[in-house]
Amino acid sequence: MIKYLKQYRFYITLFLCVLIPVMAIDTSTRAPRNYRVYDHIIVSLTAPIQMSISWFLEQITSNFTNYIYLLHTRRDNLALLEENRKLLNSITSFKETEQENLRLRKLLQFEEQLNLKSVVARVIAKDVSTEFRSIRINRGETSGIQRNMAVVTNEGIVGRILRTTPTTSDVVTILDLLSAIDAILERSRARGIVEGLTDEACQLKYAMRTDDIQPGDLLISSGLGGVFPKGIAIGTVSQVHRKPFGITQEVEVHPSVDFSKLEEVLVILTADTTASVQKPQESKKESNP
Amino acid sequence: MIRLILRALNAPILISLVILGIALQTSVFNAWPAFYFQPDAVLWVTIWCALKRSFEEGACIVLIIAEIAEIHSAAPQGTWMLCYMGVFLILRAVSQFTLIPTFFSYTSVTLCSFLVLKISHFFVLNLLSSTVNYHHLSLISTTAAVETLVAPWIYRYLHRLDLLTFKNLQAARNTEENFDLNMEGL
Repeated sequence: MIKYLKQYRFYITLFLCVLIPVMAIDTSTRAPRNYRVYDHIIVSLTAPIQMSISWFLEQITSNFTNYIYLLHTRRDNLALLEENRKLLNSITSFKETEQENLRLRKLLQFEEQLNLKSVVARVIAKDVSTEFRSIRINRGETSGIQRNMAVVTNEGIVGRILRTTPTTSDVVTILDLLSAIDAILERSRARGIVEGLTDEACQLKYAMRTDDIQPGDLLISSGLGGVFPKGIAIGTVSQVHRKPFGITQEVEVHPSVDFSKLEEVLVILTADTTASVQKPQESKKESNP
Repeated sequence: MIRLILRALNAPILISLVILGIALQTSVFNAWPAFYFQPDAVLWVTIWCALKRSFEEGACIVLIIAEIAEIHSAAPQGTWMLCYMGVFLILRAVSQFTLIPTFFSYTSVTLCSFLVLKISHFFVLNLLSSTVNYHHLSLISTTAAVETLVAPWIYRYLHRLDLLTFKNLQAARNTEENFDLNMEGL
């Protein structure tokens, strides 16, 4: 037997060399194998080497990458700061545009309600002195603006055109001492003349002492004088002083328009002074959306 | 006696080197773009066994190292074993009719063996109806280049290992001569 094994050992080895792989393939196709005992031994030998080499390579790669990143950090930082500055400017600009858009939309609605032919103008300056309260707008004669035209916003009356140039116009606000508007109280229909008083208030003059005027009452334009359309809000009564003597009473009026935040106005080119086209309460609501 | 022990240790050392080689090739060359240049440590040793070992010893070593390779591969069991054994047998047959004079002649042997290995691997996988990633065919050129160019140095170190462990034919002959001289009392 041993003699035959030695004699045919080449063929036996060759047969085994082919048989073993084929059998291995055959068994694997029947059922997938898991790690066996000697597989675990081999893996336990190779795994630490693999982990060590992977860790070492990862360290090298990580350090190299960090170094490269560090090289560009300052440049990236400057670029990001510049981008941040531009973005902040853009955001501010967008917010400003949004606010402007909101205001202009209100003005447009107001113009449509009144059915007026008007021009939108931007406030570009205020009076050089503190005694007079006029403003300058960026529209003038070329836009069709003339003296004594009414200037309003969706909140109420701003004033009237005092003088014009081709490109600008000066507006006398209702806060100015030179301003005088014929007004009526919406609730009691009492009449009077609204004149400027201070930076924040007007006064209603020539109101009869017997007229029913209460704080909070809304004053609207009467349409008399031919400057302002009828029914546009002027302001609300803030204080009433009735003296025990005399024929009139002292009434202080808080303007509907917030002059400290006035930026865009409407200049009414053609005014129908006879028709009441604006409801004062709506104007009040719009002024405080 | 020490020579005989060293000679007996040659095969375990060779297998240990294969384990180390597989660990290196699976970890160093696992990331992009290194995997384009991943050599095959098992193939070098298979070629070395086919050309420098007896048929039985070489076949046993190849079976063992192929099994080690399979442990580190998701290929179906037996495919690498069959492919490496195919390379071993073909080389064994071819070596009966050819002469490999220098270490640099091994480059052509390695290149041919590499191509045979890849072709047989795809052939076996196709027979098994496994999903073959043909994208990996594009890696053959670079890995074959690395495998071939590094081969002379690898075989030189394997030759040195054989000399140190008295596995080399010349060293074995010297050992036998010394043994004979000792027997004769010289």
